[in-house]
Amino acid sequence: MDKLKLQNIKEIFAKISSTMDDNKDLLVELDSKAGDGDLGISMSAGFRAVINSDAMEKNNIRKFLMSAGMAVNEASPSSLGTIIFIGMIGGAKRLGDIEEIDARDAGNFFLGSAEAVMEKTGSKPSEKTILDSIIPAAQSLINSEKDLLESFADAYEAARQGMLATKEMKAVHGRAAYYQEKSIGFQDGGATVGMLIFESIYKYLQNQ
Amino acid sequence: MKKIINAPEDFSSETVEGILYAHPDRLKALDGDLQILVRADDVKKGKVSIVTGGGSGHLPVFLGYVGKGMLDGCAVGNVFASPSANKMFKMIKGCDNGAGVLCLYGNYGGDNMNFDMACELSDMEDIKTMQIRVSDDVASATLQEKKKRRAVAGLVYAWKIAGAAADMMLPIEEVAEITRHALENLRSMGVALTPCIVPMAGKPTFSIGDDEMEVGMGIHGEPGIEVRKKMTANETVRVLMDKITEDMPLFAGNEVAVMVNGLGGTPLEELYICYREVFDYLARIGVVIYSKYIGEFATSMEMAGMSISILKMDDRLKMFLDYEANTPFFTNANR
Repeated sequence: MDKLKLQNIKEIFAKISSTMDDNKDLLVELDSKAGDGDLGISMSAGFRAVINSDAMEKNNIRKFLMSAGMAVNEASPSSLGTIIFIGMIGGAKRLGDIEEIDARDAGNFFLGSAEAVMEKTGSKPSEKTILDSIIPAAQSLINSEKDLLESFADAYEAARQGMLATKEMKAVHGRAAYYQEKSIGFQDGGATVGMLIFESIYKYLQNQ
Repeated sequence: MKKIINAPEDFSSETVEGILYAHPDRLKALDGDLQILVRADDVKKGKVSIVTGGGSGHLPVFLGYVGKGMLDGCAVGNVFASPSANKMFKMIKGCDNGAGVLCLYGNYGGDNMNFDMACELSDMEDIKTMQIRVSDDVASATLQEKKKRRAVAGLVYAWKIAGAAADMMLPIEEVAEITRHALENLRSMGVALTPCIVPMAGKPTFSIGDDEMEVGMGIHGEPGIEVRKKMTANETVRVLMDKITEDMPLFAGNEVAVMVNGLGGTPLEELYICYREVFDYLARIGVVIYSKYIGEFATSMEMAGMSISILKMDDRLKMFLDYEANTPFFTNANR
């Protein structure tokens, strides 16, 4: 497979949903260090809502991504659920009406998502957020000259490295920001969610 | 956890159902959605709509102020969690009278982002919206970073002023202007004695020592300025009033509206003991109390503690503060 069609993207969301279910406890634990501990529950509920929503009946990629974003937010209006919503709308607008997605398009989607989130929330990279795993992965996809599977293997690794780097960062957003220096040493829950999204896509592609 | 509830996950919806059973003539769920409450009585045609939204667990905040002379609608989230952008959007759409919708809500990350998106969705349908975030808690950031401050009980004054201006049929720009003017003259600060329990969590998500007080703690248990050993009521009030007046100096002859707000687990007696010292404190510096509210206006479930809000008055603000408001949880018609 060298391009993703609408049906693949719908199946990827099903994969993301099961990944979030599998990692519920991990996310709850990470979030309990500085947040209110509901991250695993909200991500699991948010992505499950997508596969049970009318988004699955949409017949184009842009409309699907917008409805899916709204479904995440509706089920999980927590900070991260809303950030994912903002990102999916921003990314979908960047893609426009497109029939198939290659690695570079996917990179542009994620970069468009990250830029929308930065614009709406005033956040930047290196502030211990989901951006720290999404942006390196997006850039890796944009610059990739490999096939789809290998491009996503690299993007997954870039997301994982970005996630690990958040351990050394100081939180400046959300409730974690109250802990300032004390937040150093803990891996960010949002960045972990970003990594899990890329893990899901890579594992989905592996099985095709 | 010891609470008089049914299933923890039904806490928010059953609260709303109870309120709707009690006040069917004044409140209704828009299209039967328990997360979107709007006025059930007649709303003036062509009036600017004032709306808000936020998590459950703070009654009477937020939905308790939906009613004549205050709010037209409220999107209701789960305990301490923002409602979704789509719920807010439906609420905005349902409340719009054609004169624009002012979204007036507390400065919290989740609420901010969801209202931003809700206003974007409204814009796509040509509904005019404006947003004003309330950030009255002096303990949550420095004066230089006032925009980062979170909202506490001062929300009630914001809705009171904006709601009156809207009911007087002022255009949205003027409603926004007088609201911002009120917010510039509004300060709050609180103290917490015990934590609260989010029903779904089942245990306190933060702790306060038995002999300690969290000065400046937020209504979701956000850390405050400092942890102090137990203080008397007079000492506590002085700590809060010193900080408030340092942030917004008050001079002899100034007039203020005062709110002494219980956080949910503190008896009215203690609130009046606090008001006693607020009164004396202000008298010592020659400040006149124009209006006062003592009771529970913005709570945090069973959290013990209280907050003080001060609104510095002028002739314009008096007119809006005195204007009649009448909601299921709040009225000034009896004063």
